[in-house]
Amino acid sequence: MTTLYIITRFITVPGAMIRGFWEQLICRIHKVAVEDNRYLRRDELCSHVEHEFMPKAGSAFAICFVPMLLQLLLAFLVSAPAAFDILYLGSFKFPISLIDAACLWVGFSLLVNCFPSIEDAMNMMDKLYRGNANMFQKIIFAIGAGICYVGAFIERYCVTFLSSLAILVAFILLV
Amino acid sequence: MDDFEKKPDIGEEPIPGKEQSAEAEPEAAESDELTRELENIRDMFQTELDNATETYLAGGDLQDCDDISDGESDDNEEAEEEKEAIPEEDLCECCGEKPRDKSEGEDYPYCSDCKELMRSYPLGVKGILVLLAVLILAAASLMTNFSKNIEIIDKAVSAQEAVAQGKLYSGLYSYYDAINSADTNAMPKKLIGRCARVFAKLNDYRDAVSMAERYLEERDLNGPSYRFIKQYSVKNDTINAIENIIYEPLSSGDTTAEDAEELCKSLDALKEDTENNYDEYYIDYYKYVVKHTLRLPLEEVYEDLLAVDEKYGDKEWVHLYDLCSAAAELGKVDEAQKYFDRIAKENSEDATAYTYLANAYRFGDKVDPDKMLEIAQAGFNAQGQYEYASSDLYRIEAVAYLLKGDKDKAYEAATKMYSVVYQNSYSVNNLFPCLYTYALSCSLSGKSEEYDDVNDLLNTNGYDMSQQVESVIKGDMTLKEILTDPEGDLA
Repeated sequence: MTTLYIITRFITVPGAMIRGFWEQLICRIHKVAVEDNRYLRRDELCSHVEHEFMPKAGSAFAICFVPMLLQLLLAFLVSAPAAFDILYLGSFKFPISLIDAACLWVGFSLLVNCFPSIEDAMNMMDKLYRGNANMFQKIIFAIGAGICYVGAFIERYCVTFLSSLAILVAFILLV
Repeated sequence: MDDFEKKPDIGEEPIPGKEQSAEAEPEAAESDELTRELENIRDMFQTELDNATETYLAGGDLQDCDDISDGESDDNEEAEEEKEAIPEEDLCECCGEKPRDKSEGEDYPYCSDCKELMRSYPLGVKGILVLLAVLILAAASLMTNFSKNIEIIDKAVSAQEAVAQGKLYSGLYSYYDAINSADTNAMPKKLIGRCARVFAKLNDYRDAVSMAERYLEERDLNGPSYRFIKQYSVKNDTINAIENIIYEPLSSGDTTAEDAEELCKSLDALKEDTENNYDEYYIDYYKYVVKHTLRLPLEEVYEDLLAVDEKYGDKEWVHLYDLCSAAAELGKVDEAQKYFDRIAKENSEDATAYTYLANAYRFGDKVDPDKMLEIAQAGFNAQGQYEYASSDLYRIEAVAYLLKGDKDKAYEAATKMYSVVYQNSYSVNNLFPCLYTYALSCSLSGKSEEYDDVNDLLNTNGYDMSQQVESVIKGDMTLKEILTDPEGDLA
């Protein structure tokens, strides 16, 4: 499964690198030590940076949720114009439409890499619901935390790769 | 220093109190040699001292001097001793030299210096470059293709919304606009497909197939995305085959009701054609058309239509117009309303159904001209800019006003109807009800010139004025009699 995971990260290399970049940025903002800033590795931490566990509930939530949000926004920004041209209108003119095709691939790769690592997700749940997080945080962050937690497992077992592919195919067939 | 430099040479001054003797000459030689040695040592130390002094005055670190090896080795020894004093498990995991920062926790693996370095780890240049490249790619996509296609996308979205709301004409024209705006070298194929679907929904399979064959390639038509076009081709071929069979007999004027069965059998034979696989719905529907055209009893053909609706009603709807019209002519108001509702759901902009529904309040037991006027006005509102049914709606208004006895308003409505008909240059033999209604309105409101113009038009084309209209003018028949007769000249 790790091999499959690594292969999907290398197929979706733009999304993997940008995901790692967001995580490192969050670590820097929250002054958390980054132990290894390589984004592309041949292990389970591919597309993530190796860092200390986030000390507080808020920062633990931030490193899971904020990169996910940024990935989704960026995926939409990059792929929406291309999706309208190629998938909605069915318009393709070689070679200019290759830009649109590239944008679709980048958008797909951003979607595939939008969830956090399992370690970060588990640390977030630990800090929020077993640590000293206040009730306000527990309530406000509940939905986002749930999505990140489930998403981390989904991504780890490469389901996001298949689900993103399914979304793409569904858009082609139904729109 | 000066004292040192000025210090007298040991060999130059005699040592007071001691005299040299002849027996002390070998001893003197030894002493000279010793003296020279001592002088050499002294010079050597002086040189070293001068060098060290010079270095110190120049701001150098005495510790950097290679000659001062004894002190350095002392420091190293101290460090080694210190390091040996820290257990290995307490050393930083990163640098391996300093103790771990236990203020962060007993198990914290790094020293404070390494911790600070890792907290300010520089952001990866590759990540920034990839992010920039992605943003540039997105900008390029926006500025090239998307900006060119934004107008087309806007029209396509409007068309799709209109079709979803049941406004088929609006949807069709929006798709047409979008397609005409597109670059022919990069024709948006999905738009062609959607436009073809709207044509098909309007039962215009000829235009659907024609458009698809014009803009799509053979491999597209054979692919999964546009395979539905082949079904439209089958329906189109079916209609063509049917028209080949029935057009001439029905338009000749020689065919009678007795020939209806023969024609229907010819149509049924098309179902046996396994090579072309004609669409059975249109075969059954056109059997009704044949019977209705040949004026078979309306009750009989109405039953045939009900059978068609039962068999195909969930997928097809072109027969609903005929069902609504037949129900209205038979005075079945509730059923006409039911079929009208189904038509309005399919295409809310088609006002033809309103004219059929209005007739239900004209030919039924309960003649209601006010209801007719209300339905006609609703029809005008529904059709908007697509005034395909305007002439029929004005005619409904004219008939309703005549039934109410308001001849001036009837004339006004009939004049509008006539101008629409005149502008569209319909063939006279399709216009008898319109022309007769106009003539009657003109005559009843005293517009004899206009009445004569219509009469001349009919005569020029080889037709006479309606006898029913003349009867009303003479007073032999009442308005209500001819206006509420579903078989009459003004129906």
